[in-house]
Amino acid sequence: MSRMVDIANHIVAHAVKLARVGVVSAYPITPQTQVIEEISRLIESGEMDCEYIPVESEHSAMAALIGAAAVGVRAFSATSAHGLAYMHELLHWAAGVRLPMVMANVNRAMGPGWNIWCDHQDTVSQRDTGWIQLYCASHQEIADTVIQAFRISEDPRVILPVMVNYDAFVLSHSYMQADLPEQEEVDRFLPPFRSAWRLDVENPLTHGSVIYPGDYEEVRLSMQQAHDAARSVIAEAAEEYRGLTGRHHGALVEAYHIEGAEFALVAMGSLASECRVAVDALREEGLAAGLVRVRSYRPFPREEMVELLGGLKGVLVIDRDISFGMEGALYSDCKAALYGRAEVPIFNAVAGLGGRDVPYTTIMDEMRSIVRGERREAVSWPTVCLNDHHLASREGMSRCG
Amino acid sequence: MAKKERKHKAPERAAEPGVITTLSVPVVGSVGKTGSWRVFKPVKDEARCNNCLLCWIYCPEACISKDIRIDYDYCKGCGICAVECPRRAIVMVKEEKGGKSSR
Amino acid sequence: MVEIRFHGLGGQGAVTLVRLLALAGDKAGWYVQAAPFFGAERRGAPVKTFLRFSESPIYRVSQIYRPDMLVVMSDSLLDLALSDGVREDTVLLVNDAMDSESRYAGLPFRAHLVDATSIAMDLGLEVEGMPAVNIPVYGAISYVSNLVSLEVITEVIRENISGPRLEKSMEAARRGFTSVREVRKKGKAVRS
Repeated sequence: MSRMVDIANHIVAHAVKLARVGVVSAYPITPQTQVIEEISRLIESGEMDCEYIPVESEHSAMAALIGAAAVGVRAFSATSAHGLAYMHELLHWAAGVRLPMVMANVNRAMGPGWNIWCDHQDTVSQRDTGWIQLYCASHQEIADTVIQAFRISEDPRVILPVMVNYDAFVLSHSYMQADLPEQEEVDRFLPPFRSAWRLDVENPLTHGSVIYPGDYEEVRLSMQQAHDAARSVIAEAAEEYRGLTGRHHGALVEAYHIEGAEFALVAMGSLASECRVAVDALREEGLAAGLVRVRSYRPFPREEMVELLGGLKGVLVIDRDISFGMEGALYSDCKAALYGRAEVPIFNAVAGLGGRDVPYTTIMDEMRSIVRGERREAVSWPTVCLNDHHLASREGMSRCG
Repeated sequence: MAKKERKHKAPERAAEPGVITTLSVPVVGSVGKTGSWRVFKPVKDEARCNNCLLCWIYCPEACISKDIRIDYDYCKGCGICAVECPRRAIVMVKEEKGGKSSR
Repeated sequence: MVEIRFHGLGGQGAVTLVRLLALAGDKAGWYVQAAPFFGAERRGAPVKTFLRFSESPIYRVSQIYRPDMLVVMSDSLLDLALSDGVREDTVLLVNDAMDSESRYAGLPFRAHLVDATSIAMDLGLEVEGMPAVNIPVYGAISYVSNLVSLEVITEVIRENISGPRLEKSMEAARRGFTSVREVRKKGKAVRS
C-alpha cells in the first residue's frame, strides 16, 4: 500500500498505471488536464509502460481508444464536459461494438455560459449511449473505482465501456489522502486483458457494419442484458476488492444510516458526501435521516431503491443536473424504479449547477421542510438566487428589442 | 464577476418575469478596480514620449487614453505598453507593498 | 475538525501553501483536505483556498463560511476576507507590517500579524517579481494554529523545494514562525 496526498486527477493517473493500461489517448480540457499530464509524465519517466496517442480532439481520442481496444489492448481516456459531448457519436460506437475500456470524466457544467465548475449535466446527457456510469464521492473511491472499472468492463458477462465520474474541482483539484494498492494486489484482482473479440489480420472480422431492421433490435437487447448482468458484476468487483484492500464504497449504491431511517436523501458524487454531513447533523437533531448514494447510475439500482426507500415517510432526491422540460434526471429514475412497487412521498431539489456551492445546511433546510410536511412543490431549486448580473442580462436584451 | 452581494435571496425571485441569459453588457470596471492586482506599474517618461500612440493601440485593457494618460484604477500592470513603446518612454516600476495601490 | 480559509492574490502562492499544509497535516496524523477555488487564474487577482484538518475522515466538501482561522495574505484583502464569513471566535492571521496593528485592534477577533512580504523580500524569495509570501505564512500558521509543528513543515519544505530556494524557504518559514505578533486590543503589538 502506498499513501498519496494529492489532487484526485493525479491519483487517477496512478490508478491507471496500476491497471497496466496499454494505450492512453486523450485531449486536454479543464478540469481533466492533470490526469493526462501525470500519465504523460509517468510514461516519459519510464514508470509506466504505455503508448500515449496524442490527438487533435476528443472525437479522435475516442476513435483511437476504439482502435486500441479493438486490437485487444487495455485502453483508457479522460475527458470532461464539452470534450465528452464532442465524443458523443463515438460513445455509442464503443458501447455498440462491445469494447471494454475505461474513461474518467471530470463532471463539469456545459456551456454556455462558459463554466468550468462542477455539475452532472455532461454525463447525464450521455446517459443513453450504453456506457456504464459510476459516480465517486472521494479521492479514495476514485482510485479504487478506476481499478474496479476495468474488471467490470472486461467481465465476459458485461463487455461494455465504463465511465468513472467525479466532480470538477471539489474532487479533481482538491488535495486529499488516498491509499493505492500494491501492484501485485492489483495484478491479482485484474488479470491481463483478454478481449472477447479483436481485430486480427490472421483471422479477419468486420464489426459495426450495416445491419438491417431484421437484425438490429437483438443487438440492442443484448446491450440491455449486459447492463442487467453488470449489476451483480459491479457488486462482485466491489466485494472482491474489499477482500484485497479492506475498502468498500458500496455496490450500485452506498447506504448510510438507512437502517431505521424515516427520511432519506438520494444523491450522486461529492454532493452525496455533503449529504452525509447533513444526515449526521439531522440525526443530532433527533431526526431519523438516512442517505442512499448512487454509485452506479447506469445500470440503475432499481431493486436497491425499492428495498431502501420503500416505506419511508419522505425522500429528497438532489440532482446536479436538469432534464429540461421535465425535472432532475436522477429524480425521474428514482420515481420510475419505485413506481407500482412502493408508495413513498418523493421530492426533488435541483442544486449545485455550474459549481454553485451546496452547503449541508441548505440540504438540512430542504429536508426539514419535507419532515414538517410544509413542502408543496415536487421540484425545488434551493440554491438559486437572482443577482445584478442576471438583471443586466435582461437589460442587455431589452436594449436589442 | 463583479464582487457584489451574492447572498441567496428568496428562490421565488427567479420566477420574476423576464428571461435570464448569459448576455453581458459592457461597463467600466465590472470586476472592481483591477489596478489593485498590479505588481509592476507603468510610468511614462514625458521627455521621451513622442505620442506615437502604440501604447494606446496595444493596451488590452483600454487603460491608456489618446492623450497618453494611464488609468491606474484599472491598469493590471501587464507591461505590454512598456514592451511595445519604441522609445522606451514607459518603464515598469515595482509597486510598493505587493502592488495594491492605485497611487 | 479545524477549518481554515485563505485569501491571497494570484501569484502569492496560496494554492501551493494549502498543498504544503495538507502534506504537513498528513505527516502530523490528520485527515486533510485542501481545496483551492479556481477561476480565471490571473496574477494579482483575489484568490481563495480552503483547508480542513480532522481527526476522522472528512466528508464536508462545501466552502468554508465559518472558519476557525482566517488567513489574509495581503492586507488589501481584509475587508473582502471578512465579508466572506467569520465566527465570533475566528482567529485572524494577516500579512501586514508590524506597525499597522491599530487597524486590527478594533476587530472583535484575536488577530495576529506576520510581515511575510518583508521576510520574503529580505530573503530574495520571489516568483516572477512577486514576493513569495506563502512560505513565511506557512511558518506563521504553524505558530498560531499549533496544528503542525515547525519541524514537520520544515520537513515538508525539504521534500518539496529544491535548489537555491530550499535554504531560503526553510529560513522564511522559521522567521514566519518566530515573528508572529498578536494584536493587543489596546493597540500595541506584542509577542503572544
